[in-house]
Amino acid sequence: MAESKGYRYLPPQMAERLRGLEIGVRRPMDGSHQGLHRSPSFGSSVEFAEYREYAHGDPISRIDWPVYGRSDRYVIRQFHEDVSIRCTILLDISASMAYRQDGPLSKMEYACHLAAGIMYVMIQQGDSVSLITFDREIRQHYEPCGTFVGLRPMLLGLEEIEPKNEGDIEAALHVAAEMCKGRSLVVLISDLLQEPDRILRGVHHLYHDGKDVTLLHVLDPAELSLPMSGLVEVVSLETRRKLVVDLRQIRDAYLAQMQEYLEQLRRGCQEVRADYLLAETRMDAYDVILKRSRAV
Amino acid sequence: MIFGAPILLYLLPLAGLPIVFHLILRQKKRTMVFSTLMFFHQVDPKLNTRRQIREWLLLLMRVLMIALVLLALSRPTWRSAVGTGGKLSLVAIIDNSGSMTAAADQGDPTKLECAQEGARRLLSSLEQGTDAAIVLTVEDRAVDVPKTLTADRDELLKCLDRIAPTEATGDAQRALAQAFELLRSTAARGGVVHVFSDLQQVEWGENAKRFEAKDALVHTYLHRIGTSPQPRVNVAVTAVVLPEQRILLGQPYEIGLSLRNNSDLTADVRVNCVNDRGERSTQNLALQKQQIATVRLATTMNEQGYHWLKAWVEGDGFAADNTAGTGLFCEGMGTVLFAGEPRQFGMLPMALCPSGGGQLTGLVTRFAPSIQWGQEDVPVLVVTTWGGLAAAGSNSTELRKYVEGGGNVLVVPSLLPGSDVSTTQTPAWLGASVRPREAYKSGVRLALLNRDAPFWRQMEQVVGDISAEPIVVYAFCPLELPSGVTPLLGAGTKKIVLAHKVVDKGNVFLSGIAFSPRWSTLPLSGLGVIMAQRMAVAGGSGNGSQIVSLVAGERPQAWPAEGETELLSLSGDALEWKGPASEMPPFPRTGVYLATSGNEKYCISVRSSPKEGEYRFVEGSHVPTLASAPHTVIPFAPNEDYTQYHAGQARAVELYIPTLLLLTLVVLLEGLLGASRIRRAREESRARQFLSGVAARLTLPAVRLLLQGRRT
Repeated sequence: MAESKGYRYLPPQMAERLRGLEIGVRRPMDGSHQGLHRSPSFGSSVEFAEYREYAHGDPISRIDWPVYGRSDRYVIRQFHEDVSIRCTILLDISASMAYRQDGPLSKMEYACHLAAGIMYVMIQQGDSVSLITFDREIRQHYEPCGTFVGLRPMLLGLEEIEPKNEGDIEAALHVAAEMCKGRSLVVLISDLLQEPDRILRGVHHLYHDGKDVTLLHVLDPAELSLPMSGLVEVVSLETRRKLVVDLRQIRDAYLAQMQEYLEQLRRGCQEVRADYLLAETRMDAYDVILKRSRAV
Repeated sequence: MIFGAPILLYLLPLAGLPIVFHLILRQKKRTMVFSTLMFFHQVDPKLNTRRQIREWLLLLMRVLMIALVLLALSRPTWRSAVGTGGKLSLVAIIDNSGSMTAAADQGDPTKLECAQEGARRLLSSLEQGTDAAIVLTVEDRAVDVPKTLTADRDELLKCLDRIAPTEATGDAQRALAQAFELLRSTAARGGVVHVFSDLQQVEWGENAKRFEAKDALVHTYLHRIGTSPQPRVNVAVTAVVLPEQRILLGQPYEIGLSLRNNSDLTADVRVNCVNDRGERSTQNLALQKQQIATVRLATTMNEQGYHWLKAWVEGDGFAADNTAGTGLFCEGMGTVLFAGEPRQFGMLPMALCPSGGGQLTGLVTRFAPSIQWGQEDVPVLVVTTWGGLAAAGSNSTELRKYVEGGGNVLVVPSLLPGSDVSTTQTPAWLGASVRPREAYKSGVRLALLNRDAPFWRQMEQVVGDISAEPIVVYAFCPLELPSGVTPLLGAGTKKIVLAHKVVDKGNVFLSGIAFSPRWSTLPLSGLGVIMAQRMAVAGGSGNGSQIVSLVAGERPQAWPAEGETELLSLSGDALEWKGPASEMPPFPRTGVYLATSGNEKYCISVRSSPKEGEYRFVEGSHVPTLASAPHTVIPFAPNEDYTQYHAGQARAVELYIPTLLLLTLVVLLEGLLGASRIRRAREESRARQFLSGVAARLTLPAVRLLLQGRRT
C-alpha cells in the first residue's frame, strides 16, 4: 500500500517498525464496528460483564440456564462490547512549528511524522482515523477512514502543509470538540506555545465531551535548553515581533520559565487523565509512538 | 566660570572615550528567529527597554565621571558680578611719592596723611575674611607691606601706620601691575583697586609709563586728593656734581649742587650742608624765576675712606625735592712713583710735591730704579722715561694691568745726557713712540689741540682760560701716535708733543718734552704745574671703590657687582639689607649708603627727585597711565562711604569641592548600575540552586510541587 508509494512522513521502514503496535484508550469509546476497544455498551465479546434480569423481548437463547437451575431466576449474561474507535489527529500547523535549531527536523516535519505514524497504527489496528490541521482556525479536516486507501489523502495532505500563520490552540480545540461527536480518541500534536491555562481549557472541553486526549508536545531541543549566547535580536516566527536580549544573561530565567511551563502542562493533563508526552525533535518518532502505545 | 588650570579643559574630549569604546567594543547584535517570545517576556516584560536604559545610564555616568575628574582638576571657580556670595579681593594703592608730602586741599594734613586715612577707612569697611593688600607707588622697605593678599586687616592697618613720606617719584605703572597681578592670582581673577593719589602728571600723566591691563574684570577707583595752592617759591635740587678726579687727603674740593627755581618768583633760599664730621655750612642764594644755578660746597677730607655730605635747601615752599646726599671716597695721600733717577725728570717731582710731605698737593713722590711697587703702596701716578718704559720688560704687563685698573702713567723723555729716545721700543699695547729730539733756539710756540677734550675741560675748571698763557718749546721729541690717542699739545698739528690715551679705567699721558726749562717754558708756568698735578689725580679711584649716584626711588640699573651684596646706611634712613645684587631695593629717601659685594665697595648717593615739586596734576576723569583699563576718578572725601564700591565687583565661589562631591555621587551611581546586573543574576542563580537542592532532598512529591510553586 503506502510503502510502495513512498510517503514522505511514513517511509516503509517506519511503517514496518510500527506494524504490531497498538494504541489504546483509557476511557470507553463509541464505535459502530467490532474492534479492539471496550465500548460502554454491552456486546458480544468473550469478556463477561454482568448479569441482568431477563426482560421481555430478550432472546431466550441468552438466558443463563445453569443460573436458572440454581436460583430459579431468569437472568441474562452480558458481555462487554469491543468496538473500533475513531481517532482524530489535531495537528498544529502554526508558523512556530516551522522552527528548527538543534533537531534534525523542524517541529512541523517531526509532528507530521508522528501524525502519520499514529494514523497508520490506528488503521492497522482496525480503528478509523481523521486528521484536522489548524493554526488560529481549522484549516483542513479529513473525514474519518478506516482503511489504508482512505489514509492516503491524509498522508499526502501532510506533505503539503506549510506552517505560516499565527496559532491559537485553545480556539482550535474548542472547534475540534464540536466537530468530533461522541467518545473518541483525540491526539493533539503541537508545540503548545500558548499560555498553559488556555491550552488546558481546550483540553478540558475535549475531556468533558468524553474524549480520550493525548498531547504530543513537540519541541526543538534548543527551545528547551537555549544553548545560544550573546546579544541577540530575537524575531518571533509567528508574530514577527522583535526583542533584543542578552541570552547569556537571561538563560537561567528562561529555563526556569520553561520548566514551570512544562510542569503546568503536565499537571493540567494529569487532572483530566490526558496523556502528555514531550517529544523533542531529536527523539525518534517511533519511540514517542511506542511510549504512547505502552502508556495504556 | 573660570579655571585655575584651564589647560586641562583641552582634555575634556576624553570624556567621550566611553562612548567611543562603547561603539567600538559593543557586542554585535545577531538576529535569531525563534518560535516564540513568550518565555522572554515572562522572564522580564520590560527586558529590552530596561536593559537599554540601564546601559545608556551607565555610559552617561562614565562620561560624567571623566568629565568631572577633569573639571575638578582644572579648579573651577564661579565668578559672579553681583553679590551672590563669594569673596571680594581688593588692593589699595597708596601714592607715597614726594609730592604727597604737600598739604592737601582738605586742610592741614598732608596728602599722604589723607591717603592713609582713606585707605584705613576703606579697609575698615571690608567684610571679615575679605582678601586685601596694600601696594605703594614708591617701594619702601621700612613699611614692609605683605607681598600677597591677606585677610589680616590688623596687619594691613599697621602697615598703613608705618607709611612715611618719601622724596622719590612713584612708579604708578609698577604699582598697578603689582596690584593687578595680585588680583589675577585670586580665584575670582579680578577684584577692585583703590588708588589714593594726587595724580601728579609725572606719575599718572601722558608722559608716564602706561599700564596695559590684561584683565578687564579689575576695576580701578582713583581717589584724587586735591592739593593746596602751589607755594610761591619752590627750588629743587636737580643734580650733584662731584669732582672729576681722585680725592686726596687734606685737599679742598668743591661739590657742585645744581638747583632750579621752579617758580615764577625770585627765590631767596639757604643752602645748608653738613658732612660726616658734623661740619656745617650755609649759603644764602637768590635764584631768579626758573633759574638754574650751581652752588659749590667746599669740603676737605682728613681721613682715608668713605665720607658723606648732605646738602639741603631751606626757605622754599616744598621740601621733598630739596635734599641731596653725596658719598665721597678719600684715597689718602697719593704716591707718585718715578721709575728712574730724580735727575731724569727735571722739575717734575717738585711740581707734584712742592713741600716734600704732600701738604700742598696731597701727593708724595717716590723714586725707584724700575717700575715696581708693593701691594700696600699703589701709586696714583707712575712717571717713567721712554727708555725706562722700553726697558720695563715683563714689568710692562704689570704696568698695563695697573693702568687698566685705574692707574695713571706719564712717559717723558729722560734728561740724562746721552739717552737716545730714537732707539726705544715701547710696549705693543701702548703703540706710541717718539722720534729723535728736535731743538729750536728761538723756541716754538705750542698749540692747544683738541680743546674739548676732557683733560682740557677739567683744566679749565681749575685755572680758567688755559690759552691765556703761551707755552714755548725749545726742544722736543715728536710723538708717533697710533689711533685712539688724543693729541693735547703740538708744534703745529704735525708734531705732537703731548698726548692722552685712555686705557680702560686708567690714563696714559705721553710727552715729547721733558719737564725742564731748557726744553720749554712749562715748568716755570703755573699751567705746567697744574697739568702735572691733574695727570696725577686723573680718573677715579684706583682701588676698586666707586660712587653711584641715584635719584630717590631709583634702583641701580646696571649694578657692577654680582652675587651677595650688603647695604649699610652711612647717612639718611637706617638701612641694613643683604641679598642678591639684582634684588637690591630702591631708595625712597635721600642718603648715602655703602654697598659691599665681595671685595668691592660702592658708595650710593641718593638725592631727592626734582620732579616731585612740579605742581601739575591729571585733570578730568581719564588717567593716561591706566590707558584702556576701566577706571573711575573720584574726588577724595574724608568721610567717604567705601562700602558702595564693594558691590558689583568680581567675586568668586570655589567649585572644586562641589565638583568632587558630584564626582563621588556619579561614581556611586556608576557602581550601583554596573553591579546591579551582576548581583541580580547571581542572586537568582543562588536561589534556584538552593530550592533545587532542597527539593531533591525531599521525597514527597507534594512538597516538591509546593516548593516549585513557591519558586515561581
